[in-house]
Order: sequence, then C-alpha cells, then structure tokens
Amino acid sequence: MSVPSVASVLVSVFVLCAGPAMALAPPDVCQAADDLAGMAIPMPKVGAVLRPDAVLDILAVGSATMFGPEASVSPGTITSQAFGESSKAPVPAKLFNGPASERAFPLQMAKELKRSVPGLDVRMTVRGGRNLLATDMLDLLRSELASHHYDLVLWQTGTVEAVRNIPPGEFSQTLSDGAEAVAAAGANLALVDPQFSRFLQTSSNLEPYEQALQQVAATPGVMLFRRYDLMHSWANEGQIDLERTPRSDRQKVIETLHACLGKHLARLILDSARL
Amino acid sequence: MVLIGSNRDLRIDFFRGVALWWIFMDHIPDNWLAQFSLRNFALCDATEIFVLLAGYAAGLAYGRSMDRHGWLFAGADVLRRAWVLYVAHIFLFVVFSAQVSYSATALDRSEYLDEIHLDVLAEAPYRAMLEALFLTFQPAYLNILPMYVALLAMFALVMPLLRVPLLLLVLSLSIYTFTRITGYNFPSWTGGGWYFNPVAWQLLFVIGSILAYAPPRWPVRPILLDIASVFVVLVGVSLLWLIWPYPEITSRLSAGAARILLSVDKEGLHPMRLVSILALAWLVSRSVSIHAAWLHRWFARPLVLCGQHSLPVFCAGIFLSFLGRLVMEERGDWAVQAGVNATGIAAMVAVGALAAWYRQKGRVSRAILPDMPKASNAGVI
Repeated sequence: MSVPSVASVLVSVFVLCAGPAMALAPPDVCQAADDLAGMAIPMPKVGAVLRPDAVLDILAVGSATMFGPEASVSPGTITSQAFGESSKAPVPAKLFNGPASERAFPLQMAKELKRSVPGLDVRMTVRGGRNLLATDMLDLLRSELASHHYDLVLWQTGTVEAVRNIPPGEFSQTLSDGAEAVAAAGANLALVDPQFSRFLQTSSNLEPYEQALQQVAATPGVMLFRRYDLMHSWANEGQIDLERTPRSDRQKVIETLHACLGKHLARLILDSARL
Repeated sequence: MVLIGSNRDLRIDFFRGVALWWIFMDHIPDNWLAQFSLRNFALCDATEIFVLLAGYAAGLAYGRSMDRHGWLFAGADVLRRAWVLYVAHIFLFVVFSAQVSYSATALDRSEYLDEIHLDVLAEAPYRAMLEALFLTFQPAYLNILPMYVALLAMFALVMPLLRVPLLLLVLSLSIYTFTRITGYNFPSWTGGGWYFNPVAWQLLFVIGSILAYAPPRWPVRPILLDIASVFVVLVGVSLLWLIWPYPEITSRLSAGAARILLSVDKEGLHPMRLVSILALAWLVSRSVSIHAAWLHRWFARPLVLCGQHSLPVFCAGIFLSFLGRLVMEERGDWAVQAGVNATGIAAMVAVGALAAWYRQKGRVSRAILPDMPKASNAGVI
C-alpha cells in the first residue's frame, strides 16, 4: 500500500502592480444585488492582519472548482490518492496534484484583496480534489491546521453530499466539527456553498444541505458565501450562464465566472474584516 | 389490431401514463412544461402515483392469481416480474451510462458525470459494475426501478397476508414507523443509503395492493373523507407555495414545529407526502368513475397506452429526458421547448404502441398454438 502522499499546493501570490487594468471582467457582468453574495460577519482574525506589510495566510479546501477553470474541465490533471484510515468514502477519492490556477476564484479573491490593501501579502494554500465528501475535507483541514497557522479558511462543500444523498444530519455534524477545528486553530471560516446548475435545482434536493451550511454560518466567526444564489441570479439575468454556453466560449465564460466570484468573495471578506 | 386493452381499470393505466409523462418532463432541467407537473401543486409527485398504482396493479393481478393457484405460484410470478424489472434496470443502466459519459466527453462537460453521480464509474469502474448489479450503486434517474424491484420482492413474501388486510397494514405501518424513526435504509456503496428507501416506500405499495385485493367498505358518509382529503391537499399547497418560499413565516413557531414543516423528505416517504397521495387518490377515485367515458376518448388513449406498458415507456422516458436536456442546453427558446416535449412524448407513445403490438402478436400466436404442445409433449424433456 502506498503511503498517502499529501498533495499540498502552496501558492504565493505576488501582484506587483495593481490598477484598473487588473480587472479581468467588465464590472457589469459581475453585477449582483448587494446582499446576494452573503452577509458580512465580524472576522477579527482576518482584520488583525489586513494591513500593509502583513501576511494574510489563507487555506482553501474544496473540490474541483477551487482549483480553477482548467481543473474543472480536464480530468487529466488529477492523480488518484489513497486517504488515511479515517476516510469513510468507499470510492478512492481524488486529490488534485497540481497548483491551483491563478484564475480559480480563491486566487482571484487573493488578487482582489491585495489590490484593495496595497502592501498586503496573501498566501493561499489550496487543498482538495474532485468529488470529495465533507468528511474527507475535514481530514485535510485538520492535518493542514495542525501543521501551519492560517488566518482564514475557505471551505467549499455540499454538492457531492446532495448528489450522493448523504444524510443531511451527518453533513451538518461534519461542518460544525470543521468550524470548531478552525476556531480552535485561531482562524476565521468562510463556507462556500454548491454551484448553481439547473440540473441540481431540479433533480437534487439541495435544500437540507444549504440549511446545514446556513446553520453553521450562524456561529460566530463563520461566514457563508452564497455562490449558488449569485450564480442563479447571473444565469437568470443571462450575465453568466455556464449551462447555456456553447462549447467554444465555455473556457472564457468559466474564467469570467471565477473572476466575478473572486471579486464578490473579496468584497465580503474585506467588509467582514473591517466590522 | 386493437392496441389498448380495455377489460381493465383504465383509470390506473391513464394515471400511470400521466405519471410517466411527468417523469419525462420533470427530468429535463428548466423545462417550461414541468412547472405544470404534480410536484408543483401537491406534496407528492409522479413517484408516489407510480408506486401506489404499482401496488394496486400487483394486488389485483397477483392477488387473483394467488386465489386461483396458491401463494407459491403467484409469488413465483411476482419474483419473475421483479427479475424482468431488474434486467430492464441493468439494461437502462448500461444505456444511460453510455449516453451520459459519451455526451460528457463529446461536449466537454465533466459536470454531467458529477451531477448524475456517474463520476464513480470512471474512478472505480470494476467495483462500480459490481455495485450496480447489487443495486447498491444508483446514479441519478436510475433509482426508481431498484426500489420497484425491492418492493416486488418484499410483496412476494407478504402477499398471503392480503387475506388478513388489517394485519398486513399494521405490519407494513410498523416497518414504516421503524424506518422513519431509526433512519434504517438499504445500504448504498457511495454512502447515504438508497435514494428511495424501499423500507419506507413499501407502505404505499402495500396500501395500493390492499385497496385492490380487499377494497375496504367506505364510510356511509364519504363526504367527511372528501373534506379531510381537500384539507390535506390544501395544507400541501400552502406548504409548497407559502411556507417553503418564505421560511421566515415559521420564525414564530417553535424550532421543532418549524423543522417538521420544513423537512418533508421524498427519499423516506415523509408522512405528509404519504397522506397527500392518499388524499389525491381518494379525490380522483371519487370524481372519476371506473366507467368514465372519456377514458376511451382519443385524448386519453395515448396516456392509457403508455400506462399499459409502463416499463418500456419509463425506460424510454429516462433516455429521452437526457437527450432533451442536451438539446435544450443548445437552445432553450419556446420553439425548442415545445419541440423537445412533443417529440419526447410522441416517442414514448410510439414505444407504448410497439410494446402493445408485440403483446397482441404474442397473444394471437399463443391462441393458434395450444394444440402443438400436446402433440409434442412427449418430446419435451
């Protein structure tokens, strides 16, 4: 049996110049009602390091979308990894074994944060893999938090649970365990909910999983980034509609989507840190 | 040649047909017509209709057979039917997996596989095949037939109890209550149990079979039952249209009461959904007579035809709904929507007609043959 080699991705973001030219998507495409992305909550741990010459250390845990446009379309970048004994997943989970794309929304967010706070250094570690269950991500979270100090944790989860019909109670328990672990490690937590898709809307019962995310987001220091609602609104308004995009434009639209998500998430984190 | 058998309760065929059309339409994301399917108006949907009527049909056909030939004979027929459904499910699994994975590759849309839960087929193909055969791996869309297989297998065991309907009902209700309380479910390879928990859904099937085999004497004043049913339906509608879209309404209630109102699950056949389908079934049986002339009219015939051949029509519907989705993702305007729905339904009716033709053909040849086996009996080992 091979020793689980942990695929750790450490990406430091150095943005030398910030300016209007950095905006990747025209502002109108990302437009959404102010409260749609979620509610800012006090994030003292982030607030403490949100200043010039400081380092904001972020851990992002999630599935394919955390790694960016390339990862979500080409499964070739994935290697199979065995999980530890604690893994409950019967299917061998897949960890990404390459760096997250600069265009993935967590890194887009980092870019925005740096732009808003000149002189700030943002270090982003992205961990996870395709179709990971929250229980597996919890293992990743714990081992990562034990080995390094982070100020902020992004945790994207819920879709795989809904598709596989995992009991929502179990999911809820995993989330609160994770939230406790993050709090104990002295970091703030931003949960990221599932992506919107018309298929999930009609064929999966997302509601209980959304409720679980909202419940955990009601505890202090935990925020929920409502990616589903944002994407739903963009799809409805025809601004960004992945499912209705012809193949030739998909790559571009996915990039725009990530840029917009990064922007909204950065704004929410900034607002939270300043509360 | 007459394609529609009419020496049976056409209401069952008709509403089964309706359920099949709804299953097709509901499975196409963003289908305009799908907003007129039952799930938008009641706390139950095509699945409940399907299972209740499956139980009813089973009680009618196998109950009669049990009276004539005994439990062993009828039970064996039930199991053979379960086997036919199982084989159909495996065939559909192969067809559907090929359809989705080919589309995902050709259109560069790996999320098809993730959403439909076919991603594990790529990650652990050998194991996935085995688990599919055990029915412990059920991708989205492919979870109704496994439940049906399980329900028939259970029915084969308990069918003699049809003669003591009250005992059967109490037994079934106890098992349902047990699984509602403990969350017991058949295991699923990828975690979380079967999408449709057969241990819970058996109650609806059993109720259907009892209604057919041992029709209860209805109360002297059925109007009371009418009022109760209308009330149940109204509660369902208000949950759907008022409370779920505006959950803030429940903020004045206790947390427990709010949770009860907000967590009506389909997987384990929530009591509200059970009561809703029974109320609707009562109202329909009160308003549509078994002799209703319109069931023989031209507009009812395509639905009756589909309902009489539900297995091939269902399988075709699943295949067609994914095809419809692909088309509608290319272009979703009203002309394409209308075209997809019309073509899909026409294809389902055609499948029903083909199945009916084959069945008729079989009957005709069997009618000609009866002397032959006698003649050749000696030669048969």
